[in-house]
This record gives sequence, C-alpha cells and structure tokens, in this order.
Amino acid sequence: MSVSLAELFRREKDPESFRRAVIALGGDFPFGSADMIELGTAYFERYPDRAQDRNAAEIRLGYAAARAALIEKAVLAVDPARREAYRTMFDDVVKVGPSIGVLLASAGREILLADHAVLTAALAGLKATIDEIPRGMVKERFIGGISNLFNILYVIGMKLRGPLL
Amino acid sequence: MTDKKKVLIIDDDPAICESVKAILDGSGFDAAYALSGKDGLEAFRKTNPDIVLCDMMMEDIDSGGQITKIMKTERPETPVFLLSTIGDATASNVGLGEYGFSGVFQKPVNFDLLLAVIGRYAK
Repeated sequence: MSVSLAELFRREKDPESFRRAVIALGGDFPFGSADMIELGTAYFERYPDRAQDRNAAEIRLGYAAARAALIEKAVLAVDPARREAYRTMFDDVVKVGPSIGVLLASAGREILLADHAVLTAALAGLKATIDEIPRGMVKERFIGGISNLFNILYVIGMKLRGPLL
Repeated sequence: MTDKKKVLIIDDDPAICESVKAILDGSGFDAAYALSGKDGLEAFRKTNPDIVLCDMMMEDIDSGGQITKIMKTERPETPVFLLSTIGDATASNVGLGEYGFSGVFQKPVNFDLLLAVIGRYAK
C-alpha cells in the first residue's frame, strides 16, 4: 500500500525533499480529488494563506508541490525511457528546446507527436479530477500547478510542429 | 527596431510567466513579465506594453484588479486581460467592467484562443 501524498508532505522537511520523495514513488500513489484535498490541507497547515500581504515564496511552494505530484502521474502516459526527459521539460520550460532535440534524434517526430497526444489526455484527466475539488485555495494551487504543465505541453507542441529547433 | 507587439505578463508564479512568455515569443510577440502587482505596475509605466495579461491573486487577493484599475486610468486604450485560476465564477463575480478588464482567460489557458484574441488587438 503506497503512502498518501499528505503523509509524505508532513513527513518531509521541505517541498524539495517532498518532490524527490514523490518522484521515488514512480507514480504509485492515490491521487483522486480527496487525495488532492488532503495534500492541500497538509500544505496549508504548514503555509497558511491570507488575503493581504501574501507570502509569494510560500504560494510558489504550493504550486511546486502540486506540480511534483501532477508531473509524476502525467509522465506515466509515456514510455519509461522518455519519462525523465518529460519530467525535466515539465519542471522547466527552458529545457524544452534541448530535450526535444535529443528526443527527436532518438525517437523521431511521430513518436513524440503520439507522446504529445497521450500527455494531453493525461493532463485533461488530471484536470477533470481537480475540477471535483470545491472552489477555494486548495483548488487554486492545483489549477496553478497544472496550468503550467498545459503551457509547457503547448510549447512542446510548437517545437514539434515548427522549425524552432 | 522591432515591430513586434509588446505583451506584459503579470503573475506571481515565475514558472507560469516563463511558459507564457515562451509561447508568446514563439508566436511573434515580444513578451516580458513581472512577478507582483507592484512590479507589474512599474513595468507597465516603464515599458508601455501594447497588451497586458494579468493574474488576480498576487501579493493581495485582488492585486490584479487593483492595478488594472490604475492601468486603465493611466492608459485606457491598452487592453488588459485577466488570467484567472478561480473558475467560471470569476467573470461574473469579479466584475470585468468594475476593474476594466478587456476579457478573461481561465487557467489552464487555451492558447489557440488567447493568441487569436490578442492577435486581433495587436493589429
């Protein structure tokens, strides 16, 4: 039985060690809307939010925690040999150009277009789960988290379609 | 001298700013970003952008609305679009007209739509 992300978040000392622990699970963790809410609750226990003079650094940690889990579920959609490359790209848009160049050389455009399609579907599935979360700050962190993954997938699509490499 | 239209992105999440900038730059715009409402307003005054894309919740829960009111007072001709995480209720509850937003894009943003819309404003 895998550990819940909320337990993992409470156990790890900071969001970076949480991210490493999530990656070590290899996508084997429950991640329905109730699990997202529990993770969000654990995050807000450590980093309470407020309406005025909000702490930008802590808010970014919330997006990062959500992204760590979302990325691990999303990359399950592609061949294990390419998961690290997609993880790297989803972590940092600047890495998209170089990583796609390497993947094109090794796997070819057709495979990457198929990856793009299954990743789009995977993110859409995760977004549908996020949509089940009641409106509020937990949902806001997850929407912020997944939005950047959609953006990066759009950039990947631009690279695959255009002569930008 | 570039004839690319300048887009200012104002959002407290640097990852979002970087990815939106990558999409806009790759689509023929000249994008820059600021990571708070305060810095966004300063960048707006310094760089004179053609279009602004602005988050709502930054240092304050309604920072985007506050600075949009100011930007629309100083340069009413500049379109300012809200990038919202709050959901469908935003457009009706936040009050686009009250703050002066030209439109709202829900996150995750549909960039085919966003590029089509701001492309019309950029002509």
